[in-house]
This record gives sequence, C-alpha cells and structure tokens, in this order.
Amino acid sequence: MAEQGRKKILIVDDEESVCVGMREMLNDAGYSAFYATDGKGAIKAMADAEYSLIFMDMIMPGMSGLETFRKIKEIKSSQTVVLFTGFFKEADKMIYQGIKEGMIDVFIRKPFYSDEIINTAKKYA
Amino acid sequence: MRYKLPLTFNLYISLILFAGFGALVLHDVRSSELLLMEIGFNEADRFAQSLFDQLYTSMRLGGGRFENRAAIERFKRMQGVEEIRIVHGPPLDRQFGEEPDEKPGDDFDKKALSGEKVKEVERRDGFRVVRFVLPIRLKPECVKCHKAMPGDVMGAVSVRLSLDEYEKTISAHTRDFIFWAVGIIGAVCLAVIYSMNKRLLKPLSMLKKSAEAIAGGDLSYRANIEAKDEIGDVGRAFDSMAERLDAARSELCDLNERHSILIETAPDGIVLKDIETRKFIDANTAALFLTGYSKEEFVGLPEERLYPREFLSAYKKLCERWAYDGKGCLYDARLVRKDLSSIPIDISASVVEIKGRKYMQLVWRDISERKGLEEAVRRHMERLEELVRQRTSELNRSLAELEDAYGRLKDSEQKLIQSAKLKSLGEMGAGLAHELNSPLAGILSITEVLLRRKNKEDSDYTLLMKVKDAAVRSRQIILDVMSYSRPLRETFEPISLNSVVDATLGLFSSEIKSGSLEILRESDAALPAVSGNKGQLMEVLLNIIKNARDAMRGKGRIFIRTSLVRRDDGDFSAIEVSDTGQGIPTEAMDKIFDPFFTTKDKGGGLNIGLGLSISKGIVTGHKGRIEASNIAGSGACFGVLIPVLADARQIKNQGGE
Repeated sequence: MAEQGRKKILIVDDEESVCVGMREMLNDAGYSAFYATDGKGAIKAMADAEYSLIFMDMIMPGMSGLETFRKIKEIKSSQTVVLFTGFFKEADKMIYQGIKEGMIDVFIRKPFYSDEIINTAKKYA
Repeated sequence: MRYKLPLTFNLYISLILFAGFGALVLHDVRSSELLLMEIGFNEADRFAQSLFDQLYTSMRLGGGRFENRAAIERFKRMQGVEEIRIVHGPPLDRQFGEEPDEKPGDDFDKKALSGEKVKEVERRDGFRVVRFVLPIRLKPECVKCHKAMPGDVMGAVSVRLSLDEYEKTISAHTRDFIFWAVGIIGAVCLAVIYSMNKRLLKPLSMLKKSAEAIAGGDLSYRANIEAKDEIGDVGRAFDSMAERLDAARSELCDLNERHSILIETAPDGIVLKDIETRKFIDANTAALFLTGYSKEEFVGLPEERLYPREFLSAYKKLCERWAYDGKGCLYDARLVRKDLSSIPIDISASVVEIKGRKYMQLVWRDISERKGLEEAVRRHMERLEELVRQRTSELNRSLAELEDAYGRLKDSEQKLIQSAKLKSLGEMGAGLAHELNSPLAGILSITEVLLRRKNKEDSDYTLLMKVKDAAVRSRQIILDVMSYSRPLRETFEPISLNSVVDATLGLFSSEIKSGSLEILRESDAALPAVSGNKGQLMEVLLNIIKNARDAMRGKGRIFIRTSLVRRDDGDFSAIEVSDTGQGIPTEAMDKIFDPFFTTKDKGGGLNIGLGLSISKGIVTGHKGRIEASNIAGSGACFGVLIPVLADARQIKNQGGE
C-alpha cells in the first residue's frame, strides 16, 4: 500500500486501537506508518525496515517502553523515538531518568490530539 | 581499777625517775656516813698522835706529870674535843702506884692496853662523836725513867672528838644535792611527759576516740592527726579507712533506703517465709495492714494461721511446687486476718536464698477492691439499664427537635460528602483512569482520523464530532483524577524552580502550544533552591499555564518569570505566570482554589474544576503558597511561592519522611 518516497514511521503500543488510529492519522498525513503491539515486535520490525521516526508507549506488558528504547538505541543509535504515556504518575521517574540519559527527545501525554502527533511527526520525521 | 593509758604512762615514767632518784639519795647518804666516819677516825688518830707527841716531848725535856697535865688541859680546850683521858697500864701502876682517875675505864681502854688501836663512832645528843684510844708503847730512850722494857704498852690516850661541824657541812651538801636533783628530775619528768603526751599519747587518744566513734557507728568522725611521723601515718590511714567506710556505708544506706522504700511503700503485701519451718519471718507495712497483725506478732507466725483451713492442704502442695520451680502464682486465694475475717488475694511467690537458707517471698495483692468493684459494676449496670429505659422515652420526645437540627446539618454534610467523594475518587479513580486511558487514546485518534476523512457536510460528521467531544472530555477528567490521586508524600529534594519551568515547557510543549500562543520567559539565574518534588511542581505550573491558555482562547502572551521574593515570614523562590487574558472575575476570586469550581464552560467539557485545587494542595505540601491576582488593564497573574531552602540537611529530613 505504501507509496515510494514516503517516510516510514513505526508505532509501538499495546493498545491496538491506538496503533490503528495513529497509523491512519499518519498515513493520511502522507507518511507510511506501521505498528507493533509490543517491544519484541518493534525490534523485529526494525530488522525489516528503516524508520525515520518511532512513536512508542512507555508502559507496555513484557518489555517496557524504556527497555525497548534502549534496545532500539543499541541497534540504531541515531533513531529518534517519541515516547508517550497515559501513566504519567508512574512514568515520572522513568521520564526523568530518560531525560538524564539523553534518551527522550519528545514526550507526549496520552490521550492526545491528532494535531500533536502530526506536528511531532513533521518536526522529527 | 583500770587507769587510762596516759595516766599509767605518766605514772610509770615518774615512778621510774623518782625510784632512780631515791636510790641516788640513799647512796649519797650512805657515802656521807662513811665519809664522816673516815674523817672522824683520821682526825682522832692525828689528834691522839699530836697529844702523845706533846707528852713525849715534855717528858723528854724533863717535864714531870704536872707539865703533862698542863698540856692535856691545853688540848682539852681545843674546839670539838669532848674528852681526853690518860689510861695507865700495869707498868706505870707498878712504878708510880695506881691513880684512881687513870685506871682503864671500859673494854676499849683494856683493849688498847693490849696494844691495839680502838676506834668507834658514837651518837650523843643527836651528834656523832668519835672515840679513839691510842696505845702508847715504851720507846728505848724512855727506859732511863720508866721501869719497863722498850715496846711494852705503858698506857693509852683515849680521846672523844665531836663530829658536829663535819656533820653540818655534809648534811648541807646532801640537802643541796637533793634539792637540785628533785628539781632536775622533776623537770626531766615534765619534759618527758609533755613530749610523750604531745607526740604519742594525745594522737593515740585521738586515734582511740576515732576508733571508738567508728566502732560506735559515727563514721563521719576523723582523727585529723597532723604529725608527720608513724603515728600521723597511722592516723591518716585510719582517716582514709573511715572515709572509705563512710562512703561505702552511705552507699549501702542509700541502697538500703531505696530498697526499703521500694518494699515498704509497695501497695501489695510482701512477706518472707522460711521454707523449712513454714513460718513467716518478715513482712512489709502493706502485709501487716492486710493481715491486721503487728510486726512482732507476725514474725514467727505459722502459715496455718493465715490461710483458711480448707485451702491449706492444696496450698501446701502448691508451695512445694513453687519451691521446686523457684516461683509461681495463685489467683483468687484467701487470706485470714487477725480478726478471723478473710479477704480475697492474688499470691505470687518466688524463692530467694539468704545466707544459704531458702526462703519464699510472697506478694499478696488485695483484690477485694477489684472483687467489690466487679460487684459494684454489676449493680451500676442494672441501675444504668433502668436509667437508659427512662431516658430513652425522654429522648424520643427530643427526637423531633433533633430532626430539625439534622436538616440544618445536611448542608454541611453535603460538603463533607464532596470531600469524601474526592477521596474515593482519588483511591478508585486512579486505577480506573489508567486502565481507561489507552483505549480512550485509541478512540480519540481513530475518531480524529475519521473526522479528517469525512466531509463536513457528511451526515456522520456531526456524530463523529460528538464522539470526539466525549472522548476529549473523558481525557480531561482522567488527567484531573490522576493528578488528584497523586500521593501527598513523594520524595523531596533540593531543586531550582528554573528547572521546573524548563522541564514543564520542554515536556509539555506539544500540549501547551496551540494557535498563536506566545510564551515569554524571564529567569533569575541566582534563584535559591527549594525543597520540592519536581513532578508535582511541574503539575502546578502546567495547570496554571493551561488555565492561562484557555482563558485567552489560545491567542495571546504568557509571561513566566522566576524571582526571589522577600516577605515578612521569610524568603521565597517564586514562579509568576501572567497572561493577557480577561483576568479573573471578581466574584470568582475567592473560589478559584475550591474543588470543582470552574469558570470554563462545562458544556465544552475541558475542565471539571480540580486543577487549581490540586495545585494549591501541592504548594501547601511544599509549605509554600499560591496567589492569584488581576493585573490592571491586563490579564490574571498567578504566583507560586516556595520557601527558600536554608539548610541542606532540612531537605534530607523532609525527603526521608
């Protein structure tokens, strides 16, 4: 389905409705979006293709967002990753740690508006 | 009779000295006597010889008897001469015939006529008189006149000389001697006694007094002997012994006193029983009071007298067990008093050993009061129940009045319910909100996608718009509830409010910014640190910024300024957020921090009125304050003031809570 020349974006979230919504949002905005519902899927997807931007939920069952984030950075250190979460409270510490480690480039609180996503994609992808 | 040491000592010294002195005097008297005799004899000898020489010379010159008598008369006149007598021996009697006054008078004369010198001291009228009889032998040249052979004893000269003068001189000397000797010996005696007293006897008697005082129990008595000799050493050793004894005794006394206070003031009876004889040997005041016996009566009392007959055998068995176990207790026992009444007691026993003998210490607790109390409580209960019945009917009458009051209470209760609702929201809502968040994000994003794809004229567009609105409202509710459920105690650490501003603007830029909103910053680089939780403070700032944004409907400027603010009650680091909106309505000014208060359109569904209430809670938790005001001709201004951190330790304490 993806047309040639479109920028690829990967969405990682355990809530599939979020993934689908974002994929459609980004596809409509002219990107080629894919999604994975857990950290393993994200790593696997990275092996198959190059992504100009990854949106990832911080709290996921199995491998957490930050763990996955580290793995991704191991594979490709220049990869830009936008983290988002609904669990702002629990994620506080993780966010600060992430900022300290220089890992978090952008942070979005969930639920979000499509504008926030598209503006972020425009800026970083 | 027993003499004290000093007296005995002085007596002995005096006796010894005076005995020596007596011996000396005796010796002196004796030697004076001998001396007197010696002098007397020598004097008499010389005197008799001189007389004889005179007679001899006068006879040689032809002087007859007349001449001789004259010479004798001359000699008789010499001082001290008592008697001169010529004794004729037989040759003279034969030649010249017997002369009655010149016959040998006594044994001395006769002895002298046999050729022997005779001498003797006699006493006459209190004076000594020496008697000397000198035999006269015929010399060869005398044979011309005397008819006898040379060497024959012709006769004798007997003299008596008084020793009066010598005796006077000698006795004067003796008196002198005695006078001086008595003086000197007396002085020596006094000196010896004085120094003895001073150096030995007095310290000894002080020591003795001290020893007696200590033996008598007065341990505070000190000998205080200052001498630097052995006696002084003994005294000081003695004093230091007394000192230590005193200290030990006072310590012992204290201990004893404490212990006896402990025992005697105990409200329970404490007694000591000899396990072998089964008799009581001691009791404290409470025990005596309990039993009614005096101490004298109690000591030696057999235990049969103190426990009821029916209880005795069981008690004896128990005692044996206690003696074996070393301790034990018995509840609800009875004690027989002196007046034969009995009282309920609890007994606890323990075995103690004093000087190798085993005793049982028993503690008797009088539980009659407790028993009585139980009884009293029962009676009171009954009375109370009756009273309650009476009162209930009265109360029923007052119920109507109460219902009125209840109605009045309702209003305030409403408020309480509100806060209770908040609390349960906090507890339950948090979990729920987290779970809802992800699917809600899905709904929102998919709805937005569909909205974009639909034409505004499409009949579904309005419906999708309603879905989106509902989702957006749900989102805000979830965010507020999650913030509200934030626990109050989170880690506090020293932070700069500048970093709070940086992090908030950095992390939430996508959330804050919309349309033509402009954010202007002014940071005080030297802003002092505060003790705070960054996440909470970010929440506060985010709330204020979002309020400003919403108040200006996404168009305008927001100024964020950090600075040091000095107030009467201390220094604060502050964040001020002002906007170019309409300001806060005057009538809303004192309500904006109340929960569920909002000026925003509820129908729009973006706010449920918790933001500033949450913020205020957080700031109060930081011991700070949040202030709202309107800037004349401009918008609203919110200030968040947090106390400046004075001491690094303070944060640790707060953070460690």
